[in-house]
Amino acid sequence: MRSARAQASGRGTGRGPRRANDPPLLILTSLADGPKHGHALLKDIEGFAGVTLGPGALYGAITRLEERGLIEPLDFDDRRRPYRLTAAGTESLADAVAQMRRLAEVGAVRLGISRLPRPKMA
Amino acid sequence: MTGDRHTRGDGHHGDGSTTTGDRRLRWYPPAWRARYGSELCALLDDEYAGLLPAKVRLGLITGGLRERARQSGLTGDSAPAEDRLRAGALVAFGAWVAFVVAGASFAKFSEHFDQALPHNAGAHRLADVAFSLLQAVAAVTGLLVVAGALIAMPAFSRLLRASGWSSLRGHLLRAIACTAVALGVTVALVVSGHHLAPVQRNGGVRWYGVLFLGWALLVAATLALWGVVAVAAAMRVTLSAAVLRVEAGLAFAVTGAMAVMLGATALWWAAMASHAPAFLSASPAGAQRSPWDAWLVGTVALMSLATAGAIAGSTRAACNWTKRRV
Repeated sequence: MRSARAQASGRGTGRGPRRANDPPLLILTSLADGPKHGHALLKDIEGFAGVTLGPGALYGAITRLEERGLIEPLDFDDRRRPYRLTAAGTESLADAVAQMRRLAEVGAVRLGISRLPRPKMA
Repeated sequence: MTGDRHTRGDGHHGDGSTTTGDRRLRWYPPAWRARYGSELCALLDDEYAGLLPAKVRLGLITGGLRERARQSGLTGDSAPAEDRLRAGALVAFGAWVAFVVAGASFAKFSEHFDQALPHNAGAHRLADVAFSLLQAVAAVTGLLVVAGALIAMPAFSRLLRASGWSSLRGHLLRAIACTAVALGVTVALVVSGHHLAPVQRNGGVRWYGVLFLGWALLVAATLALWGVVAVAAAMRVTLSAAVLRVEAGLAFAVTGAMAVMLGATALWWAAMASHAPAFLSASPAGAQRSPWDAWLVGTVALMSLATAGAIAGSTRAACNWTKRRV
């Protein structure tokens, strides 16, 4: 059984370990506060992660996430189609966030940082 | 929901129906366009008014090719195991086509090599054995590929009867046209080379060399176009589990044969470098003799790439051999 983190990032499907700025993880994070369509996803991700995804990369990741049952489409809003997290997607994101938090805490302890600095935006 | 701009493009539908004819998405497979085309077009209209930036266009091309590879079973694990098995076998057969091109180049390069060897049995033995092995395995491999085509023929005729002809027509017409041109150039090459001495044909006459190079490229293009026809047909035919198993087995055999032929070529090269280096560099006696002739290096590089491709395809097929539903 693949872990939820691996499922979110595409690990175990022939792709190597992924980073926090992976499109699937960014999309799951963006959808965590509610459904969004493609354009809204791009703007939100650019805002909170400083990552500019191309439309091709965005829809490649959306395809993958929908296939794995981590997100699901809603009805069309005119020509735009919003997506939302599924229960599996929420669990997957929670698992990924917990793992990243553990990693950040270990890194902070080893660097002797008591308070984590805010990440620099691109 | 955000999104402040909304430019409706031609052929887009407000009810969310598909926009499969949009040229911006032509690299994506039809099934993907039917599912995501409309919303991706809406996103492109929202983000970019007018002409798409080159980076975005490149992203759509790579994204489309990636989806095609996934949908055909070439990459990823979303396609059924049967499709992944078939795609792996097809890659191996496609790599064989590239190997044939390299083989033809090698055949031309190695013409009359035995005359360049010293007159003693020891010098001849290794090069002769390697070359004979190469020829024998090449013949057997050709028969294996023909067998693979014949086995798939009933399924192919069923596809044609079920109006599959329209989906293959474009590929087929291009291949036929290229074949006709290649035949014409072949006749011109034979007629013009008929009065030339072997030395003149082998680089002595510049215009003949250019004509030969053009002919070789044309033959390679013809083979590639027929390869496209074969792949397009193979992706559309419905193969039974038994036929698919046999095709995959043939692909494994072809891959093994390609590895043997590559080894035989390397052996021949080593033998010639040892006993007749002047032949490899086509240099006169006394001139610098190097076994690293550019033509031969390019030929063996193509053989190696084709073999690597076949191994990758066979590995893909083998990994899905036990997963298929039969």
